[in-house]
Order: sequence, then C-alpha cells, then structure tokens
Amino acid sequence: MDVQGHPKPIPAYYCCYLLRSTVRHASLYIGSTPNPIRRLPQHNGDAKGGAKRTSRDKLRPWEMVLVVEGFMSRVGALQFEWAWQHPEKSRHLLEDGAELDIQSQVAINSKTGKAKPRASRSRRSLTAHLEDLHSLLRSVYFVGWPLRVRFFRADVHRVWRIWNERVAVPLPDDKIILDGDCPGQGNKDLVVGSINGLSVDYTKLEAYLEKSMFLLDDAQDLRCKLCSVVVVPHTEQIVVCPHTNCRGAHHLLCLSKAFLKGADDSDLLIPTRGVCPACDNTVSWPLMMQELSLRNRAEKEVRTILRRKERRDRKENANTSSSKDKAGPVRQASVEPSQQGSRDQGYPMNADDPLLADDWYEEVDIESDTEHGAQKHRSTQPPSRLEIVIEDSDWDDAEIIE
Amino acid sequence: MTSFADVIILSSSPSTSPCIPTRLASNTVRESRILPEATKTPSTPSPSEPFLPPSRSRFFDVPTRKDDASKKKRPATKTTAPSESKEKDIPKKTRQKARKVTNEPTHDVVEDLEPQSLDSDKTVAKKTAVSQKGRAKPRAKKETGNLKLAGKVTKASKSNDPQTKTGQKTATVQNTPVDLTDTSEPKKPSNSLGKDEVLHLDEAMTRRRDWTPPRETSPQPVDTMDNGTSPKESREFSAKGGFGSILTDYNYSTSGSDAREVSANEGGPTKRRRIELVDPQCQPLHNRNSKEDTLDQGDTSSSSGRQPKRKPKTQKRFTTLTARMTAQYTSNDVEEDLSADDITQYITKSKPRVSKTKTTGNDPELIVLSPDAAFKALDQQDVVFGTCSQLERDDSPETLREIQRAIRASENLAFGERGLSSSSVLEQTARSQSTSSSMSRFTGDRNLWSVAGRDAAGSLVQAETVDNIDLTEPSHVYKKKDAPKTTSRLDLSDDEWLELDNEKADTSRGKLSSSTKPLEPPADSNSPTTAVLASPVQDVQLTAAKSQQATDASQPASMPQYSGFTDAELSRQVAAYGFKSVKGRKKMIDLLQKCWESKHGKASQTVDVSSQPQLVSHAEIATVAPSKTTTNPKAKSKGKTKPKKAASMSTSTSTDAVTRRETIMITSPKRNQQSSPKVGRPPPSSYIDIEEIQDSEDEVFLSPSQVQNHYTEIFSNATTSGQVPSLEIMTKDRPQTPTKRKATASKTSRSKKPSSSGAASKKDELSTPECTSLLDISIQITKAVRAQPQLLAPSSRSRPTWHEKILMYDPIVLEDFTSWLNVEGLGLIGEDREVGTAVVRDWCEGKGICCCWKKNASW
Repeated sequence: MDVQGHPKPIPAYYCCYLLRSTVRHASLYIGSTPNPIRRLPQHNGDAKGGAKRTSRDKLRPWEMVLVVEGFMSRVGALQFEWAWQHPEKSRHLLEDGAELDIQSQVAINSKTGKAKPRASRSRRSLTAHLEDLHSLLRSVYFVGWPLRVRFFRADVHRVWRIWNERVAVPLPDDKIILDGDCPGQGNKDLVVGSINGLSVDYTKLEAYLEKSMFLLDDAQDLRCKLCSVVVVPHTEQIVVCPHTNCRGAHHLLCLSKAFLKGADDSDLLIPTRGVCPACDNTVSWPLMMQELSLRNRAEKEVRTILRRKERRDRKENANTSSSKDKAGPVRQASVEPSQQGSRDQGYPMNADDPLLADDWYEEVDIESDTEHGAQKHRSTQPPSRLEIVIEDSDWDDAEIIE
Repeated sequence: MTSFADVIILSSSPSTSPCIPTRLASNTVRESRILPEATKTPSTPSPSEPFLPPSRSRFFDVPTRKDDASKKKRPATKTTAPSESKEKDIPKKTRQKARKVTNEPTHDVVEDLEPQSLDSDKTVAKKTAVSQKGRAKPRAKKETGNLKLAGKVTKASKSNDPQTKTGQKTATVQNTPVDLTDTSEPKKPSNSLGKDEVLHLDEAMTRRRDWTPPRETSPQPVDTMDNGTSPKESREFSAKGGFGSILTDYNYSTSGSDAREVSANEGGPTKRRRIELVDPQCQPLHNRNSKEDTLDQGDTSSSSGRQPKRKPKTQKRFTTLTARMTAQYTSNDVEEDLSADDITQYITKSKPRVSKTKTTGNDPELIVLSPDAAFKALDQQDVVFGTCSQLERDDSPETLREIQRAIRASENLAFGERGLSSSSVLEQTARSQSTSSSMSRFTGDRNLWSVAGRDAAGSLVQAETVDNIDLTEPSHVYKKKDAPKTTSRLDLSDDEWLELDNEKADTSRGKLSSSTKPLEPPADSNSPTTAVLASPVQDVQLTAAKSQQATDASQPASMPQYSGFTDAELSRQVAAYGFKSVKGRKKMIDLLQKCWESKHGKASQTVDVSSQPQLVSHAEIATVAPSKTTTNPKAKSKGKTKPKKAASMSTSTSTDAVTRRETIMITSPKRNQQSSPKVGRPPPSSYIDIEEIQDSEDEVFLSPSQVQNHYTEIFSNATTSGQVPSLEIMTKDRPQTPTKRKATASKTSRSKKPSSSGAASKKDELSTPECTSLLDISIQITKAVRAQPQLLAPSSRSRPTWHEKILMYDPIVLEDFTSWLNVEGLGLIGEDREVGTAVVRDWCEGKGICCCWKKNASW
C-alpha cells in the first residue's frame, strides 16, 4: 500500500449483504457496500445507481435480509463478496487439492477467470447461499476476520439455524447478530432494528478519536506500558485504549505481542482481542485498529469529524443548557454504557468522562452533557458526515437471479 | 393321454433351451401337463408365450400361431382379452387352473403344484403311489428317454433339480435323519412317482432361455438315481438336497458338480475332497457321505431327533460366508467323516486347543447352538475375505493354509536356528498364532512376509538390498553432524539396536488393527484367544530374542551366504552390483562375495574417513549381517513352498522397500534421530517385528514440530555464525517420499502460474526442493515478518513494517510483500531461498491476512 503513498484507513463500515426480493423470495442478490442505507434505495430504484440485476420492477422492492459486516478493508469485502457469489470458483470454499486450476480468488477481477468453463449455477436458493456463507465464514482465510452476520429476517435466520445445526462445526454465536424481526435478540447494544439503523460512518469512533487525539497531543511523559519507552505519536504507531477513562497507549507491536502471548497459536499474527495492560478491560483489536488507521492516515478527516462533533455538541449543549441540573445524573449514567459500548464498537460516543482529565474538561469545553436521546439521534443521522466515496460493487457480470 | 402329450413336450423343450424363470417354468409345466398342446410353446422365444393361452381352447390355437412364427398377440378367437394383458394374470390363472385340475382325478398335478411342501409331497406321494402308479410309470419312462435325447440341456435341469429337491431336502434336514430313515422306505414309491413329476418340472424349467444360464451339470445321473428305487440312493438323493446344495447351485463353480458326483459315488475320502473341505461346494458332498455313513452306522448321531445338527467342529475354518451359513445345515456326520481325514490334522488339532469352543469341539453330538453361542462361534471362526473368484482361483483354502504353514515354518526356522526352543513349543506358538485371530490372517501374512524380508535392523535382507544397506551406512556417517545424537549413538550396543527396531515396530504395530495378533510381544497378547498360549510364546520369544542378541553380539560382520541364494536371487544381486549377468552359479557367488568384500571394506573406509567412530558402523553391520544370514534360509524355504501370491507379495514389498530405501537413504539420519531417544527403554521380547512400510514413510515425513525445531536450530546457527547457509542440510533432510513429491509438484505448478510479477519470475527458477518445504518456508516468512527491524523507527508511522500492516488489517500487496521477502525479509533470518507470490499468498490466506494483487490494491 505504501506504493500508493496514501494508504486508506480502515473503512467505517463495509458489508456484504444478501438482497431478497420481497415479491419473490427466491430472487436473491449478493452485493457489498460501505453504506447499505444508501445502497438499498438504489436497488429499489429510489435512487440512481442500482445494479441492473435488481432493476426489474416485478421484483421490487428488495430487502436486505442479512449483512455480513466488519470488513477491515474494501478489498477484503470484495473478496468475500466474490467468493460468496462464486462459491464454485472460490478457493476458499474448495477442499485442499482441488484448488489447483482455480484462478486465484484473490484476484477478483482477474480476466483469466473466464478460462474455466463456469458452472452455470443460475439460480441458487437461499439455503445454498447461506450454506456458502457458512463455509466461507469458516474458511481458513476468513475465519480470522472480525466478521459478523447480522440477520434482519427471522425466516432467513431460521434457515441459517437449521443449516448451522447440520454442520459439524457451527459458527460461534458471537459472530451472529440477531436483528430486525428475529426473535431472541441478545445484546441490545448491537441491535439496530433495520438497515437504516446501522452506523456506517465514523460517528461511532468520534469519542474514541477525540480521546486518543487528546491523549496523544499531550504525550510528553506517556510511556508504552509494555516496553516502558516514551511514545512518539508522530512517528510511531501508537494504539490507544478505547476505554474512555484509560490512558493506556502502547506501541502497536508491543500490544499485539502482548495480546498474542495469550493465544495458543504461535503462528497467529493478528489478535482479535486482548486485555488492555493499562485498564485491564478487554478491548477489541479491530476497533483499535480502525481508530489507529483513521487517526494516522486520515488526519484531515479526523479533524473534520472532531470539528463536527464539537459543533454538534455545542448545539446540543445549548439545547440542553436549560436543564443543566440534569447533567450530574446523566453523566454518571453515560460512564457505564461507554465501557460496554466501546468493547463492541457499536456504541458510539461518550466522550464526556469527567474522570479523564481536568484540563481536558476545560479544553474541550463543549460537552459536559450528553443526553441519552442524542446518541440515538446521531446514529440515525444520514451518514454523510465523512465523505469517503467508495463505489459499491455491482454484480453485473453475475447471472441473473429471478 | 395328457401324459403322453406331456412327454412329447418335455422332450422338445430341452433341446430348444431353457431360460424361463423357475416360477414361470413351473407354471408352464403345469399348463403343459394340463394341456398337451402347450408342448410347442418351447419354440417360442419369450417366456410369456407359454402363458398366452389361458384356456385350453387357446392352447389349441396357440400352437398354430407359433408354427406360423407369427408370435402371440393376436387375440385368440376364443379369448376375449389380448394375450399381452393377460400375461400378467396368467400365473394366477394358471394356478387356478392347476388347482382345478388337481381337484380332478389326476394326482400328478397335485404333486407338481406343490413340489416344495414336503408334507404334501409325502402324503400325495403315498396316495398317488397307490392310485396312479401305473399311470405315472410310463410317463416317467418316456420322459427319461426324452431327457436323454435332450441331455445337453443339463444346466437348466440341474438347477431345477436341486431346487425342487432342495425343497424337500431342507425339510428333511430339519426333520433330522430319523425322519429320513422313517420316510425312506415309504418314499420309495413316492420318489418314483415324484420323479415323474420332478422330471416334468425339470423339463419345463429348461425353457428359461432368457435368463442367466444355470450352471452346467448333467442331470442324467441324478435322474437315473432318482429313478433307481434303491432306498440308499433315494436317501442319498434326499440328503443331497440340503440347504448347502442350494447354495452350491447358486455358486458358479468351474469344478462343476461332476467331481462331486464322482466323489459321492466313490464314497471314500479323496485328496480332492480334502482340499475342498472348506469350500462350500464340498459341504453337500460331505453330507452325502455322512449320510451314507449314518446309514451304515445306524443313525447314532441322528438320534437327537428334531434338533438341527451342527457340529461345533465343523467350525474349523469356513473360508467363506457361504460356507459358514451352510455349515449350519450340514449334518454333524461330516466331522466324523473328516476326523479320519488329514485335513483335521492341521485344522482341528490346533483349533480346539485354543478356541473357546474347545469343549464342544470334541463332542461328536450335533448340538443346536443358541444364537448367542452360534455368534460366538462365528466370531471365532476364521474368515477369508475375497471375491468368489479370488477364493476359488489360486487361493484355495489349502493354499492359504499352506502359505501360513510355510510362514510359520520359516519363523520356526528362525527360532530353531538359534536352537532356542524345542520344536513342540514352536509348534505351539505357531498354532497359537494361527488360531489367535482368524481375522488377522491376511494382515498377519503380509507382515510376516515383510518381516521375513527384513533383518533385525529393519533393512531388507533380499539380495538387491545389500548394496542399499551398504549405502545407508555413509548416510549414518552423515548423520554424525548432529553432534548430540552421535554421542548418544556411540553408546549403543548391539542389543540396543535391536531394541530400537523393536520399539519402532511396536509403535508401528500400535497402528495396526488389534487383529494382528500373531507374534505380538507378551504385553499385547492380552486377547482371550492368545491368552491360553501366551506364556509359552512369551518364553520362546524372549529366549529367542536373547539368544539372537547374543549371537548378534558375538558374530562379526559376515558376508551374506550367497550359496544359500537361489539362482534368480544371485543374478539379481549381481545385477545390483552393476555387473552383467554371469553364467554359472559358482561364478556368481564368487563375484558377489568379492563385491561384498570390497564394498564392506569401502564402507568401513568411508566411515574412517568421515571420522565417524567405527564402533557405530560396526554395530550396525553386525546387526545387519547376522540377520541376513538367518533370514536367508527363510527365503529359501519360502522359495520352495511359497505359493504365487506370497511370492509376489514379498517381492513387491521388497522392491518397494528397495526403492524407498533409496529415496530414504539421504534422510536416514532422521530415522536415527527419531529412534535414538528410544534407546533408554527396556528391550521388548522378540526381535521379530513388523516394520510397516508406511511407518518407514512416516519416519521420513517430518512433523511440523520437527521441521520447526530444525529450523530454529538452523536459525540459531545462522544467527550465531552469520549467514551460514543451512540450506544444504535442509534440502538433504527434506522428505522425498513420493506423496510429498507429488504435492510439491502440484504446488510448483501452481506457484508458477501467477508469475506475473518480476518477483514471481524469480521464484520460477526455484527448484522443486525449494517448494517442497512450503511448510517451513511459511514459517520462515512468519519469522521474517516478525524479524523486520524497526530501524526506520522515525518513519514507522508513514512507512509501517509489514508486521504492522498486517496488524492493521491492511491488504497486503502480494507482489510487494514477496519482493520484500526475497530482497530483505528472508535474508534477515538467514534464509537463502526465495519465495514466490503463490507461496506468499498461501501463507497470507493461511493466516487470514487479507492479501491482494497489486492491480487490485487500488480498490
């Protein structure tokens, strides 16, 4: 990536989705997008740019019955999408040994892929798609990725569950999020209700960013707790603990080594989570990486985000200034959710922690009060705060699903 | 007159040839009997034809049609329905008709209709005997005459014959001999009458043409016997019909029933018979004989009455499932008969001694075993698996048994040469081995052969391998490079070498199924079957091992006894030494001896040169050489007695082993490495152990951990001594087994594909050994990634290391990564090899690291 000079930060959101016609349930479509909230109307013709395969009026409207989210790069998402669309060609779905003449799946657009006569799997059932999804998520390549499947439709999840029971190696539960009308929804923090509830921008990182920026700006005596060396944020990759009240800052390699020490597999290179040496909270590696990459690689965007947040907070502050007396209890309440939420990256911003630092309080003089309603409000706002334009992939060469 | 007509029909039918299913045939028979006109039906090719005419009137019409050669299907003028539709109904109709007919005065029909129910048969027979004798007889005569004319038809008639008879027979068998004796006399007339009917049946049956041709047997003798009214014959005939005969009829035997018939007629046991004892075909034969015996003896055994007889002794080795099943229906008399034969000597003697059924074994009485007991007995029986053709062809039970005997003999020889044990003990052990577990026989054979082909050191004894053995010694020298191992080896005594092999074999045996009991050391001989003789075996083996060790220790390295080799072996040896074939046995021997001497000297020289302590090499030689000498006689005896199969097996294994050994030679240090840690263990009892070929392969195969260790070692070396290229060692140690090679080949082919980048093209030049170590190279890559120094610390943020990129979920551009690895990364860890993008991609994907090609990186 350094060849290109400007490596991109980890996208705020990227997902592969399974689209289903509400008219005809057998019609399915697999796509990927960084912004399903925008993408779905495109498929439905409400906005420009829908895939051709979904343009038939007869089949509209479409619904996203599930999304696979948590891709750490657009490339990865596209690879997953391709593999899901072309299970018969994907090396990740093949047994060892059969992979010889399959063109590299990694080269998604490789023209040579045509060389092999394509098995015409014209119409594939929901079960088949879920089956492929299941085995993809278990494949060597993707199993280590921080992917999660979010179901929005109960019937689809039922099919999935049946399949999951049949398979010898079921997918771990923490990779599944029940959402939409699925019964038995677990973690309320993760449930968003519908596509529109998804947080597809860096909003959720605002608080984290704010905190880390602040922490690292004033890092004269900040030492990596692992190697006891003073961190140099401008030149080093410093990971900051997502917990609002934690001043933990570590070198990337130090922290990864510490996290991987607990893992059994010495071959593992990327940890999934670990215990912050500073605050002893379990922290999610992908979340920290998201923040780190955003902070290091997109400083302008970060500044924009923070400025917006500042402005917004001010506004809200003004709105709620009348009820200043509430501030105390609210602030207390906001501490706990912040700890929970930061663990699973779905819970955006509770930057206003009084415990953080006194001077911090004054410097950022905006926040003091956050209301509960504000969070919800923000997360449902249109996601165009940070305009990183990434095109959706159109599965145009794919066979037509009816 | 109907009878007359029938006769005519029958005669014609056989000649036309028979392929109508029995059932249809029976129906047709009925019809034919009922309706004389049907006689012409045989000419019609389709089996359905005979049924076409449901009514007599039809029948009359039919013949004319057939004569016209316009087949069927014109609706009979008198019949309303088209014949086709009626075909299905026909059986029923015919049956009904037959029933009606039976009600009619003609009793013959009755018998025919129910030929299989014995009771009805008897009763009817009696009735008919009285009433219709006169009538039936002429018919019979005519039939026989016709049959003779149609004599070629044998097959169908034969098959039918036994079936109908077997129907009776099964019944009779169940009724036990008593019944037989009782019924025998009254049956006489019935038989004569029945014969007529039977004949009818036979004739009619012959018509099934469309079906699989039945076995060819001549019906004649049977028929004549049937016609013969002598009680003995009739009885014999009935006895013949046992369930076994049914099975034999199903069995498509080349030997045919003729031999059986002959033997049956002869009555006395013959060699042939002995051979076929186990063969299902022979069961009926024995039955027959036994029946005769029972007659002579006065039904001693049959006194048990209703009980179905089954003698435990008969359990001796039934080689086929069929035989097993049929065994339950054979009379116990068989055994009495058999006991006189030689067969029992080598089967029954050993068997009862060890088997659980021992107690029952001596019991002459037929005992109906409870299902449980029967199952138990079955479990203990020997089973030879194989297709019928296999079992029938060269692997007749006797040959199998002889193979085993030969093996045992050779083993005993091995023991005996050391003068360890008395022959009786040896025999016992042999027997116990043979009886220990029947299921394991085949595997046991194989293992034994392979053992026979190898010496104590596990190397091949065969002539071809001699040079290989010599060649391995330098490899041992090579092994010396691993300092710690060498030292440990220096301490080894001959005994310990033996132990090593035993250990190996033990481990290998662990993999084998528990069925491979024979020759297992005492520790493993817990199984109930071997338990009886376990202790003697142990002793023998222990002593054997000890003595062998002693001899090994005392014996200096000696030349193989070439004089003991067969000519073929000698010539092979000569060829192995690279000489052209030499005429004359003596010359060959001389040449070989010279060769061996020179080689031997050379080997020791190399040892000296390599500064390897001679003790080691000597020890090895010592172990190798004596075993050679001991096993040579084995080979000889093998050559004499061994049946084809065994020979081929041994040769194949030996050649196999030779090639493998050649491939392994380089890697043999590994073996020693592996084995050396085992030195400390106590010696197992016997030296004779099976070294599985697969095991040797396994040895060559490195476990990942081993590889890793190796590389850590190398790495440490490299780091300490700078950039010492450890590649040499690695390539040499790299497993070269065929499977691995194949895999690597495929890998290379794959790796060559994505040679789009410049870095990849480099990789293409890499030889296959490079890629064989995909596993280690991936480890190396990991190491390189981790080792990437952060020298560029100030610019770390703008130029993250690969490790950091990976940690940050950056998609790894394969081309860049590969080139970095080749230029820098692998060098950091002292790895001289280079990697291709394909290898790198595999590495990335195996680790779940998002990777992509450069062209896609812009996504």
